[in-house]
Amino acid sequence: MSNNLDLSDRRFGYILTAPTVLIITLVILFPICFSLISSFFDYTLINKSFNDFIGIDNYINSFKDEQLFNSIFVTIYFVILVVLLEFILGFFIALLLNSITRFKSIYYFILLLPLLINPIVVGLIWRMFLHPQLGIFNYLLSLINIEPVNWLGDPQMAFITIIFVDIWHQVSFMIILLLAGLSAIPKEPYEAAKSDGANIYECFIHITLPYMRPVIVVTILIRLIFAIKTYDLVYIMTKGGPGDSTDLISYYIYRSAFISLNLGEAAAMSLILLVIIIIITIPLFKYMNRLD
Amino acid sequence: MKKNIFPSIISQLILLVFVIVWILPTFGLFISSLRDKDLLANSGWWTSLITNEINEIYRTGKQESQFQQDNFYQIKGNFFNNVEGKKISSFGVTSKSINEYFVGEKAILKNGSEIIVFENGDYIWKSKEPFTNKNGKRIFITATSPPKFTLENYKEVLFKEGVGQAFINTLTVAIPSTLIPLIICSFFAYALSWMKFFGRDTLLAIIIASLVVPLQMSLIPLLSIYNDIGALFNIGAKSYPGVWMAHTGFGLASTTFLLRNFIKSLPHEMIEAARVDGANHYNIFTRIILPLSIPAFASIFILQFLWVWNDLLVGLVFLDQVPSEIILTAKLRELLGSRGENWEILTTGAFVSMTVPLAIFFLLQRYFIRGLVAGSVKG
Repeated sequence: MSNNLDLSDRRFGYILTAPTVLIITLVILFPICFSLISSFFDYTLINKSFNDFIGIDNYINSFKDEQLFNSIFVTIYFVILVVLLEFILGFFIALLLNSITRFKSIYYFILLLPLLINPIVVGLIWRMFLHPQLGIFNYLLSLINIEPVNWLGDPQMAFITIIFVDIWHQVSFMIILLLAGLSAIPKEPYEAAKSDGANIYECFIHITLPYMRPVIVVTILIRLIFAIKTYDLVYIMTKGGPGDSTDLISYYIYRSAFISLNLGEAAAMSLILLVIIIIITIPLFKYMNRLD
Repeated sequence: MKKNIFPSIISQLILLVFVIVWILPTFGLFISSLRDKDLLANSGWWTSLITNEINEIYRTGKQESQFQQDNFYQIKGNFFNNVEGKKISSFGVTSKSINEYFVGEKAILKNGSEIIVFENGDYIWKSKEPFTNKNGKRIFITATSPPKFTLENYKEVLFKEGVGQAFINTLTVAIPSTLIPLIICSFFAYALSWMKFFGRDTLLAIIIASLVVPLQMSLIPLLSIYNDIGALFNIGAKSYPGVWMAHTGFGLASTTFLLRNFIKSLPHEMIEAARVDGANHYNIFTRIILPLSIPAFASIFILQFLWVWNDLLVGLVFLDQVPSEIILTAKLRELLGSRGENWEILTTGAFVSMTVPLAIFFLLQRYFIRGLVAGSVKG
């Protein structure tokens, strides 16, 4: 491309860029600065002024807040389990889909359906399915003489249920990306390996996995970012309960901002969350760039 | 060969199981939304798929309806008022033995009269003496009832519960919130991929980094600047322009990211040739890049549209929860609180909210998948 842009070209470049810069500044950068500033003040929805500078008290309070730590732990468990299980299941299904030709598009289409459903409806569907009396799960259990289970009433059970529902809702995201990766692998290495007498598991370990590595990293990275931000699922299904067993951090921050109305502390916690996300994702981003 | 990782039959079987488990919840929701609300409150949705056996009590016609024929006094009629569907298998004349007789059999009563009941609900009651009973005779029947579905719930939800209006509100939010970022990011993505200017790479880094910013963090500061800006132009902070703006900001990161990858992959030679021929960036953008980017636009349009359509948080914060502004997801949330046990309203409302994503997906499946894959998988 020519490096000697004439003046009108350069001006055109700035014109093209201006709207994005304006909106990103307004919608992303400004709020981050605002959060940063308000996190050092006693800033609540009732007292919306920057008069009471309290230094890092909001951060100290956050770190003293046992509930915040609880929700961080819940979130870590949740994210690890969800991403891991969805990845394994998604990879498994993608491999299956990649190995067939018949009915492939029908299966694919049905597996993708949950991705279209908004979280409120997901919560609703599963409340209906897990209903103690009218739900199909307890009905199926009753057929094999098992006592009805209170799926969302028991702390441990509720956590497992949330994970299960999230897998149902989101695994198709993994399937799409991994299947796209699988179908882009060339056939020649497999043919060569086969003529050398490699079996299918050796092929998987030595050909499929190395080829898939970049796709796997990207898929897990994207899913990880979204999993940490999961909020509507618990909002609809459990409200963080019973107790605080499903109190994911995004939901906890939402509550301190919109229910406790302590905006300064909520801002401090969001920034802590942002830092956590960045710390987790930087190695993956770096790895991704190296693969490029 | 990769085709042989799993034998095909086993693959098909495992996939079939997955697919059934995966479609079951959506299917159950759909069936529930078509069921009668009284049934819905008493039985699981799956019971409506099979033919059920029911026991019912009917009365025959009264003595006024009797007529004389072939030396018999007769009362004739149909228990179901000729509504089709139910089939009687047996009947009885006392509550002690409600299925004493098969259809077509003669039941002989104490007073010597006889009753025959037929499968479709027809009955004939014959007697040599005139009938004198005041009410009709009670008949106990055992019948099978076929699955019965109704669109009544949809009528009620769309027009009485305000879901129809919420549907229109959601479209009002979603269409501009999809088009505006698409237009803006197409400019920007072009500039990022083909032009050199000060701060380009920093900008790109900021855009990608903004993918990880939690949504909750931006909402309150945004709302407060809207209050200030809105006051200047005499627009309430909670209004459609506010939502459009918020969605544009939140969507810009991913749309730019995807579109830039696409625009960068367009053939260099064509653009070089155009520049040699003296085309400026404006011409290249409008004559070459835009027409070539239509498939990418379609993908990004679908992703952003679905994201906005299914959003709850932005709609809750940036719009008043009044009938003229409430969006579908917020409406459903409201119904969940106020009509929590009215499953017919909830399931039907839920299915209404899924119609548009389903339609888009059916029509444009290819673009949807291409869009998701574009930013993350090469080749």
